[in-house]
Amino acid sequence: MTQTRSRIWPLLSLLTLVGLVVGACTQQGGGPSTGGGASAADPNGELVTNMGTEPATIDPQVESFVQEIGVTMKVYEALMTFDLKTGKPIPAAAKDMPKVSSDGKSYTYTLRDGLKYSDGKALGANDFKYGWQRLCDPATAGEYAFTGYIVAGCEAWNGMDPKKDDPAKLAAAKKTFLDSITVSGNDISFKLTDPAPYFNAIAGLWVGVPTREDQVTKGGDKWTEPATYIGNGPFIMSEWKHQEKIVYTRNPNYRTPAKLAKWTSVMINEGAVAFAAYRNNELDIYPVAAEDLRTIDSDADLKKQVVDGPGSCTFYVGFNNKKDPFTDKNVRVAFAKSFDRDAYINDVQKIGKPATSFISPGIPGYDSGDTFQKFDVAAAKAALAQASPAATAALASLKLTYSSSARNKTRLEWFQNQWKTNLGVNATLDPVDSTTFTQLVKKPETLPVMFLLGWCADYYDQQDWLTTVFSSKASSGRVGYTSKQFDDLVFGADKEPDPKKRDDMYQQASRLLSSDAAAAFIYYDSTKILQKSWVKDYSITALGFEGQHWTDVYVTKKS
Amino acid sequence: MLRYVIRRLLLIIPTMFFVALITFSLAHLAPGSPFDKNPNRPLPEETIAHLERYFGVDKPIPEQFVIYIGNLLRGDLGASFVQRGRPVADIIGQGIGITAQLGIQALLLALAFSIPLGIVSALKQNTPIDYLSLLIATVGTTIPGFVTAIFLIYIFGVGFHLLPFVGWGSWQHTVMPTFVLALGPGAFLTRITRASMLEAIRQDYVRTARSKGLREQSVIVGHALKNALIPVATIIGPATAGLITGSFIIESLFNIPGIGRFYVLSINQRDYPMIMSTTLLYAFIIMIANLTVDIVYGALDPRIKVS
Amino acid sequence: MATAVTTRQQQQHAAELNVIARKQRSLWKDAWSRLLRNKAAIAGMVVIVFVAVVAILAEINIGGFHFRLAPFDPVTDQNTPKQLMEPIWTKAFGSKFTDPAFVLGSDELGRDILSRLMFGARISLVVGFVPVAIVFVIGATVGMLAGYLGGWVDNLLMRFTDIIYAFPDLLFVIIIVATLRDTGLGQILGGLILIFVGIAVVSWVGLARLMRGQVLSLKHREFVEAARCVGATPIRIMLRHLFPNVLAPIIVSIAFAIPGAMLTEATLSFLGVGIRPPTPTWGAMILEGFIVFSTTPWPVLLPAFCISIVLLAFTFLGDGLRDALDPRMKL
Repeated sequence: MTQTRSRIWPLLSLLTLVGLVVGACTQQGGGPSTGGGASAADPNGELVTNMGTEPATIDPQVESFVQEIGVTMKVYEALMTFDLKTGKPIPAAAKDMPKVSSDGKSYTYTLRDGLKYSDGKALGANDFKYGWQRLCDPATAGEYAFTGYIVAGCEAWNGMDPKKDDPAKLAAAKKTFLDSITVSGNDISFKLTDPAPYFNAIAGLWVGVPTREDQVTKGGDKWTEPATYIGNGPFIMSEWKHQEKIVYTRNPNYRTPAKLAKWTSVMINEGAVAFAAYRNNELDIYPVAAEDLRTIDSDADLKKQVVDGPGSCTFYVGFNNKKDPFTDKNVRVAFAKSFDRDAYINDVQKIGKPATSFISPGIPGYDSGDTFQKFDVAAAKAALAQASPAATAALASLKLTYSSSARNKTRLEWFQNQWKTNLGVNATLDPVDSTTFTQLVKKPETLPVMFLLGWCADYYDQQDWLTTVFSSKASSGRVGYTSKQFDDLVFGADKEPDPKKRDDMYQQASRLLSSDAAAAFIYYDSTKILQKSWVKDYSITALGFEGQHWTDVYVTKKS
Repeated sequence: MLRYVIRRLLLIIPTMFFVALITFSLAHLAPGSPFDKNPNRPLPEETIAHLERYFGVDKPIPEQFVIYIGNLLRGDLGASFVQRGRPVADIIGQGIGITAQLGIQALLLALAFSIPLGIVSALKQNTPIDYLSLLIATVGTTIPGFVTAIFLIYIFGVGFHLLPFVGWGSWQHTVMPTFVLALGPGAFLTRITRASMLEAIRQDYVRTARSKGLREQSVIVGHALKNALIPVATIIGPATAGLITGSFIIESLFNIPGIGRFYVLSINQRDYPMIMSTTLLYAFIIMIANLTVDIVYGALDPRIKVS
Repeated sequence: MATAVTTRQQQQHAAELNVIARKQRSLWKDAWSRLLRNKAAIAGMVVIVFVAVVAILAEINIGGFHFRLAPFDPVTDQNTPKQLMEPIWTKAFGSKFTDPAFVLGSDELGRDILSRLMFGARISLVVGFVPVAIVFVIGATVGMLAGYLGGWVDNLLMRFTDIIYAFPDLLFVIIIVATLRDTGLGQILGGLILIFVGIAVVSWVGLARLMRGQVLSLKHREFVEAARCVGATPIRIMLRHLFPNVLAPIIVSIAFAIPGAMLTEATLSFLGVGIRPPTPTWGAMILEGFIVFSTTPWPVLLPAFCISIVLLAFTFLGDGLRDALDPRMKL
C-alpha cells in the first residue's frame, strides 16, 4: 500500500490499468456483449480508471514506468505503433512503413499530411527530430536514453558530461548525432550504427514522440503541466490534480477522434479501496487481484464482468551464477526443476501461467515446447547429488533476497517449503526495502546469491528479452550468466535481416538459457480485470500503450 | 514570559540545524539512491551518472550539505528528485492545507470525544460507562488505522452508499478519514484524561473544595479538571504534530492529495530534498507545539513557572 | 467530616516520621499486598501469564523432549488447497469455507491460524516488552531530571528531546536493517530485536515530556517541600515522593505502548521495511490478513483480538498497580 512508486513494473502493470490497452488478441472471457441498441457510444461518455499512483514524471524523454507511459501515449503519438492483433509495428504518425536502405542501416519515415498538435499548430518532421534530440541529449538525463543508442552518435553524445566536458566536444558530438537524423519535407531519416530489424519497434515507443520545443522552453521544469503538455495524440491532458487525478478530454485535432469525450485517471493506491470504488461505480475498470477471486466467484454480477487478457512479464528466481552454490550448473538445474509451478499458480498466484522458459506468451519467441525446467523432483534430486562439494557446502547458508512486502513474504514462504520438501535445502528469507533491493541487484559485486525478479516487454521483439537481460551486454536483470555460445547467438540474431533465421537463432539461445538454468522461471503474468457493462472495446494487450486503445474504447449510456 | 518565549523561539534555530544535520547524514547513509527505482530495470550506469549530475548529488556529501543549508537560508527547498523537477515548495504548498485541515479536524474530534469520555469514566469508575470507554479505547488502539479504514469504506461507502471515500473536495469526503485519524490519539487521550482525573479527584484540594460545599460541577470543572489537564496538554502537543504528519496511511487509503504520505514515501524513495523538507517541517511543528504546551502549563497551574 | 480526611501533608509527615521512628515496611511490599487484593489486576496478570505459558508451550524442544501444544507447525504445515478457511463457528452463519482441522481458520498458504497465533505470542510478547522497558527507563529518567532540576538542565534535555522527536526513525530503521542484517545482532528473532531496540532508543521522548509535565506540577506541592524540609536528598525525593505520584498517566502510556510496539511491526512491514521472523508474529499476521481482507476479515481480526486482550490485561494490571502504589490508599 503504501504502494511506493519504487514498486516494480509488473506490479504497477497489475495495479494500474491505465497502461493496459486494447486488443483483439485478448481472449475475451465472460466479457460483456457488445450487441444491441444500448451499445451505441455515448458521445459525451466518460471513462474512469485507476492509475494507482502519481506518476513521477510524464516527460516522454525521461520516463520509464508503465503508468507514466500511459499518460504520455494518450497525449502523444509516435511515428509507429503496434498492431493490436499481431503486435507488429504499423504506421501511426508515419504515413507508411519506412524505406529501409539495402544495408539495413537507414530508416526513412514519411509523415502523414496535415498533422497537427492539439492546439492547432502544424506538426512536421523537425518536431520528431527534436524529440529524438531531447532523448539523446545528456542534459535531459532520460531514463530510457539507451533505447536511442542504435541511432548513430546518440550513445557518444549521451555519454558525455554536459557540465564538465569541453563545450566544443559536446557541440561536436551533438552535431554528429543531429547529422544522423535528416529531415526533408515530410520525411525523417535515421542513420543507425548497425542493422536493427527491431528499429520500427523503437520508433513505436514513447521515447521519440514529438515533444514541442516551444512549450518545453516556455514551461521549463514544469512543462509537463497541462498548459504546456501539448501533444499530437488522441487526448488532451486538461487537468492534473497532483496525487489525486488526471483528466483527459478528446483532442478534436487528432486524425481519428476518440470515441470517449473524457477519460479520468484517479490515483487510488490501495487495491482493496479500488475494488470498493469499482463496486460503487466510481471506477469503470478494476484489475483483479488473487485475493478478490473468491468474492467475485460468489457474486454472479461481478463474475459476468470479468475479462481476461495477456500479460507481458515473466518472473523468475535469479541465481547469482558467479557465487556458490550457483556456480555449479547442477545446483541451478536442481532448483529450477524443484518446485511445482502448477500448484503455485493454482493455489498461490492464481492469476498467471506457469513458465518454463523466459519469453512470455504473446511476445515473438515464446516457446511452449521448451520444457527443460518442468517440475521433476527425481531429476532435481539427481542433479543436486552431482553438485560439487563446494556448492553443496554453500547450500547450508542459502539466502533468498527479495523486495519486502507481505505478499512477497507469503509467496516466498511457499517456495521455501518446496525446496525443503523436494530438495532438503533450507533457504532463509532475506527481505530488504525495495530501494535497497534495487541497489543490490544492479551491481554484479553486490548481487545476492538468490533473488526474485521479473522482466516485462517494452516492445514485441526477442531482442528486448534475450539480449537486454541475459547477454554479456545486459543492462539489467543481471544474474552473472556468461556464455559465449549464448552471446554469439543473440548478437548474431540482433543483426540478422532474415526473419526466419533470426527467430531460429533466438530460439536456440532461449533454450540454451533454460537448460543452463541461468535462472528458474516461475510464471508469466496475465491480466484479469472487472469491467462495467457500459464499457466497450476496452482491449488488453501485453504492452498496453498502442494508440488504437485510446481511440477505440467507448462507453454507452449508463441508464 | 515574553523573554522566555523569545528565547525559546531563538533556540529553534540551532535545534533545527541539528535535526537537519542528522537527517541529511542518515538520508545519505541509507542504502540505495533516489535513482534505484525498479529492481527489474536498474538504470544503466551512464544514466545514473547523468541523474547524479543533474541533481548535484555527485559532489561530496559535506559539500552538498553546505549547499543545501545555503539554499535553505535563501528559502529554496530544492526540487524533488523523484517527482522530477517539481519544486519541493510547490508539492508541500499544494498539500499542506489539506493535511492540516484533516489533522485539525481529527484533533478536534479526538478532543471532543476523549475528554468528556475520560472525565465521565473517571467519575463513574468501574461502572458500565467506564468499561465501555475502555472498550472503545482498546479497539481504537489495537486495530490499525488501515484496517479500520477498510471496514468503514465497506460499511459506509459500499454498503450504505452514505459517504464518498475516494478523493477530496466536499465535507463528506473528510468524514471517514477524520474519524480514522482521530481514533488512535482519541483512545489514548481518553485513558490519559481518565487516569489524571482519577488522580485529581483524590487530591486534598478537591476534597477541600467539596467540603466547602461547592457544587459538584464547579468542583470538577474549576478544580479537578484544570490539574487533570496537565498530562493531557503534554500529549496534545506532539499529537497535533503527529496528526499533521502521520496521516500517511490514511491519505494513501482515501486518495487524499495531502503531504502526510511524503513523510514515508520520500524516505522509501530516498528523495533527499523531500526528506529534508518534511522532517524539518515536522521538527518545526513539534517545537512550536512543545513551546505552546510549556506556556499552557503556567495557565493550568500557576505554581508551574517556566523560565 | 473534615476530621475524617487525612490531608496529604499529614500523611507525608506521618510517612517521614515512620522512617525515623521504626524500620519501615517497604513501599513496594505494601503495594504488592494491595495489588493482590485488586480483582481486575489479578485478572490482568492471569491473562498475561496465560499468554506467556501458551507462547512457551507452543512448542518445546529440549534434548529428546518434544512437546507441541499448537496443532500444526506455523510455517511449514502448508495445505494450500485449504487456504483461507474461516473459523469453525462461522459455519453456523453460512460460511462455506470452514474445516474442522482449523478451529480459527487458515491463512493464504493453508496454515493453521490458531497455531500461528500461539507461536506469534512468543515474539510479540518480546517485542511488546523489550522496547517499552527501554522507553520507560530512558523516558522516565530524562523527564524526571528535567522536571525536577529545571533550569539549564531542563532546557538542554528538552531541546535534545525536540531533536529526537523529529528524528527520522523510519530512515534509521531502514539503515540498521540493511546494514546489520548479516550480523549476529541482526539475526536475533529475525532482526526484530535490532529494530525494536533501535526504535525504542528514539521513541522515549513522549514519555519524557509526560513525566516532566507531571513533575513540574508536583514539585512545588506541600509534600515535596515537606520531604525537602526533613532533609531528603534529591534522589530520594524523586524516587520515593515524586515517582509514585506521577505514575497515573505514565502507566496508561506504558499499557498503550505495548500494543503500539506490537503493531509497529505491522506498520513497518506495511511500509516495506524488511522484517523476517522465522516464526509468525501478531503484527505480521495483521498485515498478511489485511491483504486478503476482501476474501475474509478473520485473518486480520484474530491477531487484532489477541493484541486487544493483551492491552486490556495490561490496562487492568496498570490501573491496579497505580492504585497499589498510591501512597494515599490505605491498607
